[in-house]
Amino acid sequence: MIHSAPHHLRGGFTLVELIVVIGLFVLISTFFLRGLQWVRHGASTNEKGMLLARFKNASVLLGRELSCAAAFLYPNRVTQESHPILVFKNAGNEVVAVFLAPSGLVMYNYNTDVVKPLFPLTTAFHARLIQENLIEYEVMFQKDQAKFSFRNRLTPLNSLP
Amino acid sequence: MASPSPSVRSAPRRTVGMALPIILVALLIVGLIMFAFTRSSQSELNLLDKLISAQKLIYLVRTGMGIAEAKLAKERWYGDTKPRDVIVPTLDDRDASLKIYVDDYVQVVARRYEKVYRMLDHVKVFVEARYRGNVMYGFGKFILSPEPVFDGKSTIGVTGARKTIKVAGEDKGVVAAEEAPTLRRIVGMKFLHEDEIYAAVPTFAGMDDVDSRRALGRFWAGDQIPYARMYGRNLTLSEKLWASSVEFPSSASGTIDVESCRATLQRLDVPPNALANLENVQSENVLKNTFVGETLKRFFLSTAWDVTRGRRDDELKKVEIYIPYPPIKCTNADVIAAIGKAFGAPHPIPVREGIDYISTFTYDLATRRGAAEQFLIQRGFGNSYPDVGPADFSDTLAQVKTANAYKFKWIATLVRTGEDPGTSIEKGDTLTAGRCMFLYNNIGNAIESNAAFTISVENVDIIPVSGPTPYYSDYYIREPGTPKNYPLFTVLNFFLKYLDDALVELPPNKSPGYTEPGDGYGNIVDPFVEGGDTYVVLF
Repeated sequence: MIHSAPHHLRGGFTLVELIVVIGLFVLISTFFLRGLQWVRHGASTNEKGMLLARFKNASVLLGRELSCAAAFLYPNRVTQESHPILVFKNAGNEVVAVFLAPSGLVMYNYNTDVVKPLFPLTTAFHARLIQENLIEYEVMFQKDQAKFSFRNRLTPLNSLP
Repeated sequence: MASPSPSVRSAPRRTVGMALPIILVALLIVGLIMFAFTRSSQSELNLLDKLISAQKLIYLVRTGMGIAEAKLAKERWYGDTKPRDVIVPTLDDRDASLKIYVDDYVQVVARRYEKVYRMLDHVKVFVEARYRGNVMYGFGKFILSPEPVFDGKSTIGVTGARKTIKVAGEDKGVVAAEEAPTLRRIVGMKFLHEDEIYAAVPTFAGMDDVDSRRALGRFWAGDQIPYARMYGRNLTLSEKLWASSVEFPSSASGTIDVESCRATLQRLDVPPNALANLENVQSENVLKNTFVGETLKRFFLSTAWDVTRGRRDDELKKVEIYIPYPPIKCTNADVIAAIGKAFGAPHPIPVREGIDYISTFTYDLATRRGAAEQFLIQRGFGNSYPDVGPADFSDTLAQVKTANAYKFKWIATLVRTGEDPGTSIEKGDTLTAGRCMFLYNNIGNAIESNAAFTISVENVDIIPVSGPTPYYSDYYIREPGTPKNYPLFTVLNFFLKYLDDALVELPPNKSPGYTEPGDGYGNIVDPFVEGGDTYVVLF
């Protein structure tokens, strides 16, 4: 009897112990689920980072091409109105158009007939001539809830009469 | 005194033991959440920062080019002692740095004015921009026309001007170098990333290395022919895009198909016969001459030509091409008669203003053609450009034959009869044509006599020396009522420099006290061929 009493006591849980164990289980499960969410979020951030990096490359390419342009051809009037396409002569005097195609933002070289994809997730592209030799363009893109836009103003450096 | 039961002792220990791990685990997880959040925010900020940095690099290179152009327009600050220099401007942003390299290129052929000069052809400009560990390079070519003298700081060009100077106490007429209105601008700007520059010039050893910069200059010069080809090829399309109210069809969502963009451009791309086949033209001369001729058509006497087409067209209406110094033609009947005798009919052949050449071109309201466009048509280059060297083409365009020059001499035999009989000879050149014709018209007659003797003309020979020799006058381009007035050759030479690096070299280092080469240096050209000596008669 003396031995059976403690053995009987060890065989069960007190209410407090049960509550603690259940609490711990809930807590650990919550952390685990949160962890899974973080992994997913991390992947999404990584993807967003990749997109931003591509966006950066596209904007640099565009900025450099337009900086060294020989002329901005279209839009051809100084107005407040924006246009969905920008046509210019590049540093080699080739006619190049930048616009939002169904596949995303592209740069189309009319003389070589080569289409260069710039950024696939672009949602909008606008260009307008704000002074005689000053172009403004804006590129926007969206991924899930994240929205980015980039606006730039440039004069052509290699203009000819 | 009974000892406490084990259950009574262990209960408090178990409570403490469970709470601690919970708190530790909870703290760890909260920490992880905070770390992940911070990291994710920083990563996105870093990417945005990189985006901005990349744009800043482009602006830095542009700034470098602007600084170089502004400084060079003022002077070549290093020109007294060396043919190249580096500028490191101070920037407000400590993350940014700029290095601007300028290299003089001189013409291989020296030029003789009152002494022999080497001429500065152009200055190559290189920019190295760094921003937060990233680097971008820029290249440009500062061109000048007419060329300045290489020795010294000036970037004002010189041309030959007739002057009288004292030589050994005596006045002597010379053609001396004199500063002239100069066209200047950085052209052919290109930007490259670090990886691209190594792809372009595998031996690139950094901008500090002169040979690397020379190699880069050669690499970029290789684009000049495709550049000229595309300029002519796309002229009509560019003009129509500027002029028309074209619309590119877009969908409701604002997208444009590549096919519809191509079709829209193709509809506008119908070049006139002169420019239609430039894509297939193999002759570099034709491509270069087309570039020079077509830029001339659109030039309105300013290098600040970044204006809309409408304003450019208004400016072009003011341009005039003219001959400021027409030849003074001979109307002396005796001279005309003498040349007729010397050279035979139909000499002297006149070159008539308005028929054989036109002295002034202005904007034509009826055809809406600018002065230069009419000028080119009248000179025979309205439809195509010739396959001759562009320098020769520019020479041909810049001058026009305005007269024929003749030179003759005569000799007359006079016979004296009566007192002290004998034969004497009179002779002369063009300027004494009056005497010549007087004698010629009196062959066999006495021209002087008195009681003691008679002098009669036995024979007169009028001998052709040279002629008809074409005499050329220079065309100028100007905006009347303004100081804008340039020799046409200056303008053509300026546009040719977009394309031509021929016959230039990177000079060796100058040392203090550097002197120009003497007469023995290389080839020397005399830029001023005399139009006609005083004895030449123009018709």
